[in-house]
Amino acid sequence: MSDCHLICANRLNDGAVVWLDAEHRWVEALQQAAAFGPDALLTATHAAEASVRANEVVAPLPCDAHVVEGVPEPISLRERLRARGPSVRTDLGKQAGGDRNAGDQADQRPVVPMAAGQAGVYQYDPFEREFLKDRARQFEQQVARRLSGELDEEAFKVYRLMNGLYLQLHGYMLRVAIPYGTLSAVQLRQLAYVARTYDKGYGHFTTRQNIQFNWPHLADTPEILSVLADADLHCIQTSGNCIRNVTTDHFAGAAADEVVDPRVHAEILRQWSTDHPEFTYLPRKFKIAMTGSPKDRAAVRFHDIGILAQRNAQGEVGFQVYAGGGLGRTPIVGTRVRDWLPERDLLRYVEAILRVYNALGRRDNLYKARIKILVRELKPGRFIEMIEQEFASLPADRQYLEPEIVQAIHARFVQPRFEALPGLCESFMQARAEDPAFANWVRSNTHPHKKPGYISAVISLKPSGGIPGDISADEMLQVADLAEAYSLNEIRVSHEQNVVLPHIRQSELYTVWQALRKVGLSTANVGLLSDSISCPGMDYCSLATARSVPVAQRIALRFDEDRQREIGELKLNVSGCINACAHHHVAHIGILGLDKSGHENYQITLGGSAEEDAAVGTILGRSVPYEEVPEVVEAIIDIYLKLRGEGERFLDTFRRVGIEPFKEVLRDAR
Amino acid sequence: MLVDRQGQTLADTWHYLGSDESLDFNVGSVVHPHQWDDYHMRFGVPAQGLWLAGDQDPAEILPLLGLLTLIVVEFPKSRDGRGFTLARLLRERHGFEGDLRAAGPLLPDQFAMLLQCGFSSLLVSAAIPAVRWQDAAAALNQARPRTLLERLSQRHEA
Repeated sequence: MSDCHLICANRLNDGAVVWLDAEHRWVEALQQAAAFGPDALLTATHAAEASVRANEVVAPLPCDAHVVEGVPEPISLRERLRARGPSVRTDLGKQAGGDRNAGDQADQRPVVPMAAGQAGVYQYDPFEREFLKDRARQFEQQVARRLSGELDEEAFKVYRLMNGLYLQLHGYMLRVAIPYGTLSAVQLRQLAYVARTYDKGYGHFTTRQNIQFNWPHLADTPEILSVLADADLHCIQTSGNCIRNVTTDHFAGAAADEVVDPRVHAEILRQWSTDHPEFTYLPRKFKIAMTGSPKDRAAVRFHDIGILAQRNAQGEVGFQVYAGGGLGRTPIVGTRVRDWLPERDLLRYVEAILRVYNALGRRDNLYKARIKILVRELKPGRFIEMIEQEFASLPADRQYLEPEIVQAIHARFVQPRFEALPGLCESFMQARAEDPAFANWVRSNTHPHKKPGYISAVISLKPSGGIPGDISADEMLQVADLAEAYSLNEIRVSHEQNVVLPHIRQSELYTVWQALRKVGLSTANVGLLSDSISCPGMDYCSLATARSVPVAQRIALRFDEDRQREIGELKLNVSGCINACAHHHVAHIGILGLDKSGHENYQITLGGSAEEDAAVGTILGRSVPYEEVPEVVEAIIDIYLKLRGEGERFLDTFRRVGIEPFKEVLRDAR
Repeated sequence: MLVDRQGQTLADTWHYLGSDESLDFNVGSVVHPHQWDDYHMRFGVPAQGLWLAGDQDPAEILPLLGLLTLIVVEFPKSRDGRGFTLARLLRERHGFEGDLRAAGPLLPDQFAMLLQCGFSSLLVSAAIPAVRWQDAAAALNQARPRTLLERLSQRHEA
């Protein structure tokens, strides 16, 4: 279809997108790039391979192009986005020109370095801090060996991934772990500092409660790791086939319905899994989620291991354990492998599951390597038998989780200084009654607190037309200030890509809301249609088959907040590929971007749920083109509004009437 | 290149037989499981070393453990971690006390994990400068427990 090719690559030291010119030099501007005809392509490919060996660029790839007015233009959408920058941020990338990174704003190194133990909500000791600083130093040597050519990309990739550094469409991406989604004000300020100094002034929260920076230079990353370590933050196990960041309920430590604070055991699992000698090179990545409330806000049934902390009649802590759940190309609800696991056995049992998986999980096929496939192939009964057999055969002295250990870890969490407050706050009630905008926000964005007089508030990162999960460095600082002043210094990140101020006094909530409104952070849409989870999609990600963010944006713009409130609770998630990073399978309305002969098409699923009533959505029918998605979604909503009974949410109506009544939207659509 | 627990390179006196190589008597022979019986029958003595693939089920070779001086566990890729589990099982569950050797494209950064899982020597690519293994061993010798959990658990087990 085209007879010429561009050769595109990422430059090794900063990740910048570059093309080969006619003289076989790498250039940053598409205008200077060469479009190689069939005769010239082979020697150009050889030249590109030579510069891979010379450690100048990474992964050069010829891509179909045509020449428009003397300038080569890539044909595929992915390569066009690569040549311009994210379509949802026209102020970034090649299209914006200018410097790649802010850099010059690095004036205010905020509060660091500060002593270990004073940075996070979980207090590290000097040894743990030193371990993080060591890791940064090790990575510095590895990067130096890469830049000098001692390591080629294949050898370096292992180290790069161990430190959360990916290479994506526009350059490197660094993913920082936020263990169990808990941050202090100091830590959020440190993230703001990184965003400003080494990136382009923003970050993106993910469904693993992590944050990613999209524009770091390879040469800067060891320094970034060191700066993060100054605030007890790190990128360990945020990529690679290891045990990833353990996620929890975003109201952990605050929720009124909480039985056990899941962060204590999540922290134990974090420590246990860090550089685990046996389980760092698994068949595939491994995700653990944990919750301590009967209401599952952490999607535990869709994790490799999902843990529900409970208490028995004697008040003892134990766990219900699920395994083999997951999303991606084969969505599967986890199998309940244990109804009651005594607290003391937690690490031994998790070890048994991981050992069975490490020994038997498939390594021949990337797409069949997750534990869910093993569980399916063995059949759940046999899988449980094997775990129990492994569990029973562990050495007798292996790592029982004794109460003293749990207590010691618990004691390392800064205990928020709650005050004794009356349960009902007059001024709060009054503000709600007098200010309908505040009342709406309270209704959608707050959650009951376990301490009388307190309340948790979600700061939506889904403003109308915004990018789900993106937060600017300024916003990070504003949230950090509010957390310090009004939320006992604590912040949570939700897997729905919002942030939470967990411990606000009801008497101060109106003030907090007013402050949020002033800076544009008071969107009252949590749990509503525009509170979409969206992965970065093809605007950033090299795995994506279609864009996701602009789809979520265009749907959201069709429904104003009043209409969304009238529709009620509705989860609509958009993934840019089958890997399902945006959890589309478990959304009430899930949207999956596909590539249909070079065009973005979207498959719609209905009726998924990530909660106690876990379900994988049902495919509605044929996929629809990019332009038509918003009207199809609107038609689905209209059918729901027509059919819904008293008090029924979208999901309830769907479960009552099934998929059939909704199918007509695809018949009607052009 | 053979590397010991201290990260030092050693002369290797073992004779590793290829999986489809014809059998040949050698004092320090390392054979594959399917060659074991043949070797024993042909030469009247068991081989002293056994070469295992990462996916070997240890149950199948249990009767041989007492006869072996050396077990080699092969890592087909540095990122294929089955050998870590196999090593732990051989040491912890089946009590193998001989030399347990990891072979393959291993990385110096995996040195600590390999030893923690029970390996006592490594057969690695000569392309990696020998000094990297010495550095890795030195780092391991200086390592302190990195987490509170590790410290508390050690106290418990001690």
